[in-house]
Amino acid sequence: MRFILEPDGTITLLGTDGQTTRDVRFRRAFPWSKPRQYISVRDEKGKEQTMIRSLDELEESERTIVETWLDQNSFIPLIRRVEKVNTDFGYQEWQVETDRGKVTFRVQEREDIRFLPDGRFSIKDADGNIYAMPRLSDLDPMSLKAVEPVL
Amino acid sequence: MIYQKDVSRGGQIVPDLPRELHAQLNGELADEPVLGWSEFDLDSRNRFSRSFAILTPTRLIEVHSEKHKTIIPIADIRSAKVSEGLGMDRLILQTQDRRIEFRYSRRFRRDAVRLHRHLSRLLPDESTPKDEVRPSWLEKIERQAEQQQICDKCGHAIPGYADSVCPRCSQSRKILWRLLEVARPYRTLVIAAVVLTLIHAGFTALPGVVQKHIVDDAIVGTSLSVSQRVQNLVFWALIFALVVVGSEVIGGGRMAILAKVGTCVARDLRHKVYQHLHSLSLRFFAKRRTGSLITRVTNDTDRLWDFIVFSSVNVVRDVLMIMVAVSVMFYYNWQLAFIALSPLPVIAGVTWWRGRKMHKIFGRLWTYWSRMSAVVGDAMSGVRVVKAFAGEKREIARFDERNEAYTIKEQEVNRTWFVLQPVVSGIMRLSMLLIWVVGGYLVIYHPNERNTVGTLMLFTFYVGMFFQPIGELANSARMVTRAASSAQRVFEVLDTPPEVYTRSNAIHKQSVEGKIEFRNVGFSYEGSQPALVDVNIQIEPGEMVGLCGHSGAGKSTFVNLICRFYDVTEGQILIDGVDVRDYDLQWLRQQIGVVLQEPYLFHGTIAENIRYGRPDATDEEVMNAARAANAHDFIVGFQDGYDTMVGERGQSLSGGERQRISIARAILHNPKILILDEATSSLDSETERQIQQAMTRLVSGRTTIAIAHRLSTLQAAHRLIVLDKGRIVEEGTHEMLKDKENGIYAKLFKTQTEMARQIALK
Ligand SMILES: Nc1ncnc2c1ncn2[C@@H]1O[C@H](COP(=O)(O)OP(=O)(O)OP(=O)(O)O)[C@@H](O)[C@H]1O
Ligand SMILES: [Mg+2]
Repeated sequence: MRFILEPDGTITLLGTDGQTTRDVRFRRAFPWSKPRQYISVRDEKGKEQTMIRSLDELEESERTIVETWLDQNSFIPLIRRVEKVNTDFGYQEWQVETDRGKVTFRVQEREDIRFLPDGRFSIKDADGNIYAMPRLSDLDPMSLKAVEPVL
Repeated sequence: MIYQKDVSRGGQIVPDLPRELHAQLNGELADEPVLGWSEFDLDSRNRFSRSFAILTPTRLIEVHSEKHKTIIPIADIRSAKVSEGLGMDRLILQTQDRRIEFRYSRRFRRDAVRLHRHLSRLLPDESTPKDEVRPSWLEKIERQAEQQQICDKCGHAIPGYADSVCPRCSQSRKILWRLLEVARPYRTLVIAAVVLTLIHAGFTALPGVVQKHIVDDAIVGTSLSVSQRVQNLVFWALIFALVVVGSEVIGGGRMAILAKVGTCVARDLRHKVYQHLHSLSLRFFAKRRTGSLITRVTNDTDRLWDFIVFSSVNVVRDVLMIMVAVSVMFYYNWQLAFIALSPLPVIAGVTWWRGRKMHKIFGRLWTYWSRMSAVVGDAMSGVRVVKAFAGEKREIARFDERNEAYTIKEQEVNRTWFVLQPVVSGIMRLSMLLIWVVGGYLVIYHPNERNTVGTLMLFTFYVGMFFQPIGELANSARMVTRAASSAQRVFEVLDTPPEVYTRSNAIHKQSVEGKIEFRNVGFSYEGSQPALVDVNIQIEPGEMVGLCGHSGAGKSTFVNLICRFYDVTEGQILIDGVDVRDYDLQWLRQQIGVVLQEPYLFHGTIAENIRYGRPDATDEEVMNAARAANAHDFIVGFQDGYDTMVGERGQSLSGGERQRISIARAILHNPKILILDEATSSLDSETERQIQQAMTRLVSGRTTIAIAHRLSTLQAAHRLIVLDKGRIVEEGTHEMLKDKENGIYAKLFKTQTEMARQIALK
């Protein structure tokens, strides 16, 4: 299995059986629990062509292509610091610093904050954007103080 | 209907550009018309960064800041497409020599898609997919639906349901204030209770003074004659008796009033929460656990009335008692008073610190509690699955784990509370000792007017009277923090806006004809995958259409939108030419009868379940409906007939029996529009045929939309609509569609007839 980066930015899959699929997309099957494993390679219509068992099994150059694609086409900011969570208005307004920059977003209700089994959190804002937050033990004391009342 | 007027205007709409953008454009536009615009929030490395794009007939202006603008002539653009990623999308433009990308998160998806739509219409290139031309008035409605009024005070947007009252400004008052507002209708009673409380507090304070006089003027009374001392004793004893009786009577009355107010407030609160729950849309319920909602309606409201009534009034009383005690002590002997009050700062500090700590923990405690009850709710609802897969042990383990977690938290709470309790009460009692020692010293060495045995007695009384309410206040603090976290959860429900709501000037009509029209309807549940895309269809009054397509194609979604279980994201749905959003919601649903894909029966009798849509239906009518649904015979066959209890979710019935009862329910409802979502999927072909015959009579004159995977079910349909991935891909009669090359319907039909033949051959 090989991937070719086309000039227009799309990726072509050269399958083991010699078949080529143009403009393939990648989806993580377990984006939260196993982000580096089980990456589905799908065609334009969403049909799986093949599956990458683990990114680490790929060769260096291929891996870069896939990783770059995933990075370019997915947007799940990782919260680094929580400045403030304002709950005055009946919803939560989070002011945070993420790996993608500072942002303020709105969380409609407490059910939009998901506890993941490993202690991390996934937070969905009112527009449907997803943010990842590390374990409470990995947060600095100020952030901890800010988020404590809403968890 | 209001919208129709806009059609005649036609032409361009000039979308309102944000003020900020105007400034950045700095006259760049001159008087070019603006066709569309969008904001973007990501840069090429997916980092947050703001920019805009504005489309005019000849160019696309990319605005990063006032200084930084790029102009792309439309003539240079070869293609424009939207590429969907995970959590972010890209609008990609290809010109002769370069590729331009606009990246945006979910926040600006709608705007970007709209901009893309406008842009593609300007491009000659065939490779750019063209949507159907969307009338400009439609976009106007959409923007109106999205655009919201801005509140003058807080500057936030006011959602449409709020009728121009900013919910944030009305909510930003502190939670406890809002709580007291619930008691507003009972304010006369509350005031009476407060007055009685004050009097009661006064009465409670009196015995101290009386005691002092009994000691100083009667028992000790060295300067008086014996007869005078006896007289004084009788006099003060009588006063004492009066005070006791009076305080008990008033105290009793006070409690009676408070209890009455309390139960009423609790009732109102439960009513309010429950009523509001019913106004919320399906989206709300999809996310929540039933268990946590039940807790909010029952437990949380209960805790609140406790607080509103007892704690709040008691706080008033306690504060008053403290004030009385302090002033009496200072009046009789200020030196002793200072000594008596010296431990106060320590106690206040500890209490305050404890209250703050508790507030946090209580909120958490509730989360743990609801996580534990969720396991119970989940397992009990799915008890068949649990048993079928022998999952009992795992379920118990899951419960134990959360039970344990809750217990640990609760113990933590108790530790914080009870470790500090002895400290506080110890300090209080030691200060009593202080009075005896210092006071005793004063009485022995400096006996005078102020330093008497009576005064000493008085002090012991008032020091007690002073510290007891302080302890109670600390306790109320515990109640208040508990109540505050309950209140937060109750208000969370009350403050959730109903997404689907009746507009203020909604339309009520006498009757409907039953014409249904979808205009450029687009819908998505979560804002990510679209469930319906650009659906355009007209269904005539009295027509029966069959809806088919693969699983997940959007069939149920199609009918959900007609019932207004959800509102469209794009376009509009009209019934008899009026946007469904303009109708009164209740009225609209009364015109529609639905048999849902998962039939739900309530705990109750069969007759009650059939009658659900029309409680006033006669028994005759109920039976007729059941006959039409081919349910009569099996129902009468039950020992209890129509009075058979069906259990929660109708568990005691077979799948097909449940379906037939819910068909009867829809038939009895006698709607102008009938929706059957896989209504007969659990029935054998013979029973289905019988129902169909009965239904053909019923269906005449009603607009009917039937969904089925078994295509034979749709034989009676005048027209078939085939959905695929949220789009209408085929439309026509069975004859027209069955031989269509590469047609989805033709394929489905062939497979099914093939299978039927193979079975017949065997
Ligand atoms: N409440 C919901 N929240 C989020 N997505 C939903 C919801 N209901 C349905 N969907 C999604 O919307 C799409 C269309 O679902 P829909 O129920 O309309 O399918 P359908 O055609 O009725 O399928 P079936 O024949 O299996 O009943 C599916 O991809 C489904 O996953
Ligand atoms: Mg369905």
